[in-house]
Amino acid sequence: VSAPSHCREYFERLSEFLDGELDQMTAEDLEKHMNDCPECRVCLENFRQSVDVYKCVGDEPIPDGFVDALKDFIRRETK
Amino acid sequence: MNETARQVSQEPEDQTILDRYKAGDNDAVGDLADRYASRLYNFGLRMCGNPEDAQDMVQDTFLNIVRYLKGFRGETKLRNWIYRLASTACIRKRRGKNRPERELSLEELRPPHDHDGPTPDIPDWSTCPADSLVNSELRDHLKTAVGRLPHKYRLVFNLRDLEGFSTNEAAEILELSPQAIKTRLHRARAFLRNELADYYQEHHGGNGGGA
Repeated sequence: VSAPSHCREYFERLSEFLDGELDQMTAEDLEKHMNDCPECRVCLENFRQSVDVYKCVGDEPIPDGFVDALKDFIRRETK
Repeated sequence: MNETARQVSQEPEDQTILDRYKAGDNDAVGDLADRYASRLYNFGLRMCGNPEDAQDMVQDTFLNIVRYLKGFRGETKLRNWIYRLASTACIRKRRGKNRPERELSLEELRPPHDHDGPTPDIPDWSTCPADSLVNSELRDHLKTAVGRLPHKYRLVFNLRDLEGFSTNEAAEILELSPQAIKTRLHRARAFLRNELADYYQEHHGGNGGGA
């Protein structure tokens, strides 16, 4: 189901809202809309959760010996 | 113009390494490897998708550090400068593969919206995949989803959400406008949100957050 145009416009600003990059008036306007529109509120909340979950996905261990090999390479290139 | 006036303050560990490098200590670049190799390797792994290319990318980055550190004037943070070299290495590697780049459209990524239907529940997607081995399946799914992002969106997502650079720093690293960074990041996040919704829909049926 297609969203009303004002809901579409708010969707486009969700990342800036979550990152605190909207000016105060626009942020307050968005918050007010979220209180009035359950669909957009759900959208904001699962967008927020998704951003947070991906941020803590974690790193892989670096392959054994790679840093030593890299430092040997750097030593050779530095000479 | 006074050159020092344009210098930014470096992280203390980087400043120490830079001071040693300027004093002629050639091991200083090796210490940069101790400090950055793991982070750059993971950045490369997410960008290139396999350990071999990630290691090549890190080596290319350090080759350029060796070549160009002499000309580094401290006008940006050393970390940002290193990630600019790494990002360039990733872009070069991608060009070598000559695959067409897919554009992400918000029109396609926006979740369905039904004002006439019942009010949807807010799903619980708050499980942190790093918390437990039980979540390894979710973690694998998230990593695969990041790998499915088209390259230019993945680059911005990696720099902003996984490496922690600000919008302005990412713009400086990639030589793009801050607005371009915001646009790409939002599309990347919307794409990844839908991937996560699919995962929950598949594994916990009905908890897909409307997507």
